[in-house]
Amino acid sequence: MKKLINFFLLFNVFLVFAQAGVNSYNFGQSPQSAMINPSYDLETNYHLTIPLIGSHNIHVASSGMTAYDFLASNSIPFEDKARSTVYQLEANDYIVLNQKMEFLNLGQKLRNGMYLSFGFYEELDLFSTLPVEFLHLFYEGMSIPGKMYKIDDFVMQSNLTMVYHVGVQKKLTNKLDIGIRLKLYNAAYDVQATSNAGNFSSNISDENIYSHSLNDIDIKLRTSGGAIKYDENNDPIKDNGDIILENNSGDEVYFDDYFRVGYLVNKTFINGNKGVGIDLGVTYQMKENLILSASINDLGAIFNMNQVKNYSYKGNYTSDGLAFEWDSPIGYLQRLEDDIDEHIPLTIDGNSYTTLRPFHVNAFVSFSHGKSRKNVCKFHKTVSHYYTGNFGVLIHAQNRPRQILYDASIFYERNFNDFIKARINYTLNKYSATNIGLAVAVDWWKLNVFAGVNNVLGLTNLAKSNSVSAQFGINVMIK
Amino acid sequence: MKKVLLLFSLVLVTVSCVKDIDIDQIEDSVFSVPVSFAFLQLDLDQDDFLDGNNNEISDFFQPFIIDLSGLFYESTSESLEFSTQFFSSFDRDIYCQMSFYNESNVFLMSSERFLITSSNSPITYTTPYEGADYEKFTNARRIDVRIKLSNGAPIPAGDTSIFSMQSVVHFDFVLEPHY
Repeated sequence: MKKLINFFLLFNVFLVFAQAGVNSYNFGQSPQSAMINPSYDLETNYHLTIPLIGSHNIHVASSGMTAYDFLASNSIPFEDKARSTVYQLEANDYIVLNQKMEFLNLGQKLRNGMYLSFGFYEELDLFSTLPVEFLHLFYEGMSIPGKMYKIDDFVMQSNLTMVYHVGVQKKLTNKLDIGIRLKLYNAAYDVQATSNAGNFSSNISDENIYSHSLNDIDIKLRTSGGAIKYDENNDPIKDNGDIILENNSGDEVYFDDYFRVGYLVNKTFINGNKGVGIDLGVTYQMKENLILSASINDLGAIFNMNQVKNYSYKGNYTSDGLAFEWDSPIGYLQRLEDDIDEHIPLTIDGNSYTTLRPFHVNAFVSFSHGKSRKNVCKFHKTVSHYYTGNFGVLIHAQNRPRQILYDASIFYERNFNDFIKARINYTLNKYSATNIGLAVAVDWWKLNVFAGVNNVLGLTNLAKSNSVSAQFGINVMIK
Repeated sequence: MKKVLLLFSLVLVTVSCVKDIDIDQIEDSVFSVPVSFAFLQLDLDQDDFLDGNNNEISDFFQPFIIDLSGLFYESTSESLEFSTQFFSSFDRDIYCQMSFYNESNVFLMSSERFLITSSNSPITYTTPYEGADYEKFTNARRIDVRIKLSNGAPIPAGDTSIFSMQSVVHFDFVLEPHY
């Protein structure tokens, strides 16, 4: 419990970042922007993202609550603040953590005019709704007969994935660019609880004053990448207190060894569960100063076939208390536990399963204005137009278990000179109406540097914010 | 470019902060969860008061092995309420008393002696257990429920009367985060 509380608080205080990530769509000619829109023309012949330090992106969200809601320094007792926060949560409130780090991102313009890029990056993703009604149960205990506490709305999904990608961008006409990127996923671990049902209730009973019921319980937890070995009684097999896991070959691995850096690196880079996906993008220059664009990212799935352990509880159980049984040496709680095990048994299997990637959809429109100048590339025989300013709209949606997260942004972008661009962005979504983001892109010598942050107003006090995100990229661009 | 990046970084670092919160307040927090759980339950009819020769058994006890050691531990409040609801349609007064024993079968304490008269509606007794009595209650591993019929006309064969005992334990589960 203490660890959970610690985690929860730390999560809220230090990692409360963005609903929507930094708006870097079609911005700054950076490879990080091309990762969002594969049809984005980088207007360069080569690029290299500086390995490891070159690109980082963190994106964390918690809807319906902030650290301040729990921890405000005022005269209201912490217990009361926590209670009122829990009771203001809605069933689809959620927490999200998404972190990416690029290890390699390389690109080269080909003779046929296509731009080829490839590389790989690590992505850690967590999405979870909150078991709101069970949090209410924590406060109400069993003091409200007849009230049902459902678990149906609780979904959770998390994985650590290495993404290997190769893509091409092609200018089909002077007005139309398309892009496609194929992805191979290697998941070090995957955890899913996306299909839960059932409820708990205490009721006035004929048999006893109260009865307690677990009704229509159907809880499933699917895992891959860290399969614990169990004996025939579904108890974890231990050796001198150490839990035993199994690797892809079915061989035993000690829990401590499993988390050795070497083993983790091996799993994360190569030896995980595989999947495939695709990014698609299209950009259409309707007029010289009007651009329409759309992209879809991570349309794919991971096929979890190795080190799979699925856990499920299914059944119904009602307890009317301790009815007398002659000569029964079994105590109340033990009898309760045995009865629950009998009526809502734990089933463990190793059946493979598929995890859909949480794909993103973006729709973008940009209108340029102000002083125009042309950039003529003799080698590629293309002409680009630069304007003093752009403004536009970005609609973003992301598919998550049982809900779609969406937000709309309007932005204004200023090209100060040939080297520096800045974008200010206002994002509106279900939970925030004050989300202002900033991004800066700088081209200096052969370096392209990109940095962005969302919810700048929230930075003034992270405790009161439930949305901020940050992204950074540094790239070598050779034109 | 350096200036722009420096300025951007400085703005972020300067304005980014966490304020107006007090993490230490968690140290003093206490969460209390009200728990009510169905407890002992007993249904008796005429057969239970007669032996094989239809002779009345007017005084007997029924043991319940409880072992609640996994439920009560140091993080609970140090008091509880034990509510017992009786119903009897026998035309005799019935006395009921509970005796608590630890895991070595050493007697710990007895409840008060409840009088259950014949009635159309149940009778409820609520007993608070605090301090030393709370300790005894939570350390009990066996409760003997003693049933004693008062003096009166013998229960006739074929009597359809019933006696029932239902019960519930109320307590607060207290959580105190310590760092």
